[in-house]
Amino acid sequence: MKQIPFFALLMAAAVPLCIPVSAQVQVGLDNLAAKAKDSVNITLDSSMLKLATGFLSKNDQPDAAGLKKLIAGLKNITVKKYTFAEEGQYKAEDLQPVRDQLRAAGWGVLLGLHEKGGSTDIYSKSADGQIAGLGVVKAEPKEVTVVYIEGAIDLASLANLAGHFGIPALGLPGQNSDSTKTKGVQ
Amino acid sequence: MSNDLENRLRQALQRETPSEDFAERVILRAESAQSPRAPRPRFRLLWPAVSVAATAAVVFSISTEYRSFQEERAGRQAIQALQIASEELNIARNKALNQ
Repeated sequence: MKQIPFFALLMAAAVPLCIPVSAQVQVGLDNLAAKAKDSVNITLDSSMLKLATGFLSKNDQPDAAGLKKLIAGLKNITVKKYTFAEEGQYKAEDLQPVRDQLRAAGWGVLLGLHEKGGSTDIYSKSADGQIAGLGVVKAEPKEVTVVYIEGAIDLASLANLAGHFGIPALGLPGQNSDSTKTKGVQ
Repeated sequence: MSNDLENRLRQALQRETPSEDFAERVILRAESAQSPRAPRPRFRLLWPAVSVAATAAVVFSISTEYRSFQEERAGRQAIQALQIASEELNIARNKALNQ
């Protein structure tokens, strides 16, 4: 009989060890989709990104290999973009849970732009001297955009893809000025 | 000579009482003649094998097609996601430079 409480305590102590520690940011915001005029909701986990690289392997565009290499280093891409017909369709508090997660340990604010009527915050996480995560939270009166990329993202590689696959130029040093032209996805 | 032949014929064609199991043997023989011949084992397995192979081919074809569809959808979504990410970074960068 005395063994039961001890066993229960042992089990209770082991439960937290069984729960996987998820460092992944949960974007949420699905409640905004119903109010939005237009919405983009993309969530690609590692298995979907693997499928994406399979598609790019078959693509004969010159920079498909570069894009494939860029995506191969990623673990998760989440993009949620909501455009509203009028102002006041969302509250600042709606974005707070995402901001809180992107302010957690390991993350830092790369850029914070706060102006009248809107704000853009760019967060990054580093590991081994390179960006291991990128978060963008943009809040405008009629638009909300949240981008969360987990994995080794090379901004220079992303910049090199400018002008292809519809990816615009980032304007990084050394990038060709004529690469601002964009092409559609083939 | 002719009498001998006649006697032999008479003897051969004379009435005989059938044995007791004659009727049973006739019925058994008639039944065995009517029943269809059992197919050879080799051909008996042919149609199931063909149908299994055809089903497997259809399933393989559908799964390959579905995977191709999933790959394309994931690829296009990844490109769109990176496009939006790049756009937002570009806008933020330009705003920061203009401030």
